[in-house]
Amino acid sequence: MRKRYGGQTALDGLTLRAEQGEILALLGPNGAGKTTFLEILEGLRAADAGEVAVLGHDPGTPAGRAYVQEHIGVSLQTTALFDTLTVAETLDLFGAFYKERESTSALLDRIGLADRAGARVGQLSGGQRQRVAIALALVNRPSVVFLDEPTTGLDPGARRYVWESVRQIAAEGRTIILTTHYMEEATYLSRHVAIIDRGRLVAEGTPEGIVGDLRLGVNVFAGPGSLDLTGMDAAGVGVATVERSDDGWRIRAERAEPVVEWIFGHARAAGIEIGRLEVERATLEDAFLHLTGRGLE
Amino acid sequence: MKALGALVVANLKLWVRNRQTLVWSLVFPLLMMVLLGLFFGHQASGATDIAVAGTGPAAAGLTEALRHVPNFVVHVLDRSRAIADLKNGSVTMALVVSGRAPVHVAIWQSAANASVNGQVALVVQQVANQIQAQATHAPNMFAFSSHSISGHATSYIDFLVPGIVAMELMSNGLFSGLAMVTYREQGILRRIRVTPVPTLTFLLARIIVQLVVLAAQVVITLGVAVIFFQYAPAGGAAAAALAMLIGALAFIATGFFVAGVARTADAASAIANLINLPMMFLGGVFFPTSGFGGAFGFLIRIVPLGYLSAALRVTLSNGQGFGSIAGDLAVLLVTLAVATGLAARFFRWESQPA
Repeated sequence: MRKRYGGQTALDGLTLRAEQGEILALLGPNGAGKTTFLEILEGLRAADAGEVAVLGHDPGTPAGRAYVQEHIGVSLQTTALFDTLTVAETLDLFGAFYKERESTSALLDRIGLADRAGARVGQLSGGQRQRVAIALALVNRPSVVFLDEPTTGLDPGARRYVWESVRQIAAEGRTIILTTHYMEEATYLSRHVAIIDRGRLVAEGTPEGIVGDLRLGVNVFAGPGSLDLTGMDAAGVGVATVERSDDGWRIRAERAEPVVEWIFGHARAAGIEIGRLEVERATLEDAFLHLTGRGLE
Repeated sequence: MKALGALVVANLKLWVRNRQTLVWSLVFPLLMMVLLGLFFGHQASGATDIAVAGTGPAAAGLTEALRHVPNFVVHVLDRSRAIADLKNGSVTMALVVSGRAPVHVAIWQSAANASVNGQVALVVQQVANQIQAQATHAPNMFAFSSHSISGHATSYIDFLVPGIVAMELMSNGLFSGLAMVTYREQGILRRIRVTPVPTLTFLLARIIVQLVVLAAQVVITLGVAVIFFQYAPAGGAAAAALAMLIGALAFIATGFFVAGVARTADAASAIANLINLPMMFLGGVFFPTSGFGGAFGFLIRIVPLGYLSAALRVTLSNGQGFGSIAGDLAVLLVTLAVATGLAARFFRWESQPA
């Protein structure tokens, strides 16, 4: 798919395929082209070039778009709803737009807001509004669900609730395509992650697969900062980088053991007590940094 | 159909629950009417309209002289039209001029205007005397006779009520696009756009709700006028209803056009006001505009609201039918067609171009 806005390239030959029943997570920083990609699939925008098929229909044609929109569920990036309608009225309204629909009471039970059915949408918390947005995406019993940054701006509790909802939707056999710039969200929810940057696909696979393929190894964090580890990269323990941070050191290496042993030896010789020592496998965040030279957020 | 019904119901709820709009659109016009009605309600409407029928130099001279009287608006008509206009309250007095040496001036007055008849007749006779004084060689130039008919009174409230109704239709129509801009800014329109609801269904629901709301406003306004100001609609209900419908649609379409051009709700509000305020003052809502000429007169003639308020006045207050407002309806239909074209051309779902 290709798409430009004026002089800016939003999608630069991005090719992706989601299988039925899987959760495809599009991971990338703001402005990577994730939303544009979803909007083309949803029939909101037209691609400049490329082939698009959702459930076998092209949302770029009027007939294809009608079919696609009847069978997909959508939660847009900003959850804007009519503030003075109640939760139940909102679900009823959107339900009336489709040939097939889920009952309002079933949806309310599903999102745990049965007791708030009569509350106006404007009175809900951010997390509750997002639950309503997810219920709206399911109002027509869709085969494919698009969730554009479903947890952005939510507190950890609300985020966790959304994650469980997403897993439940997928367990029912629906295909989910979601965008996120949270690495842990992609890792937790998806076995099929696509890392996107500047409209291009930079990596695709399972979270472990992407990190493993890049041979990023481990991150080791050691402190206190008075421990001098500058000579470490020349010590032959397989270190890629050694960086000083606020409260210590961050070392990227192939394996953890030789690095940890070297730090212990070095600290003992210098008579400094080790205050902090953490080992962490490389993450999608590291993969993104490695692939693009920039952070995710 | 299911989607249209649901959208109509939802939009009605949204309208009723929006206190600000509710108060502004219902209370403001009523307040205007009550205030103006209390102060000026039973006075005659601002200008004095005089019909002159007759040909020849004497009729022309009298017409010209009367035009110089402050507050007099002179209409040259044929005899039957002049009497008809007197009967329906469009003019305060009809002068039928005939013969020469002496020139016979039949002063036709309506019993409904009893309070001002004497005064107006006196002014007419004074004007005639002045003409006579300038032409000293013809001592008995004018002979007067007086005729009376029963007719419809034209107090200020008769003038004001149709104007207020027209203003309501215009203001609410113009501002009807505002909600669309807000919904567009908030992304609600995009959310609806990813559903299978056709654009036309969505817009149709908005228009239907707007018409229902306007109908309620018109009924309330007329009800208050009848109960508290003894306003007596003279008939012409069907013709008035048609004029209201076409007028309302024309202004709703204009409101949708404004919504299409404006980027933000604030901008839409400013543009709508830019159209609303001049129209309110040039459209003959609060005072008669028939006497103005020149550039001001030209502006008055191109303002669509003037045609709606005129049509409502002729039908509601003067009891005339379709025939008398054909010209006004034609202007409103043209406005509707142009505004619809512009609204369709500039309609957009997104704040940003796709």
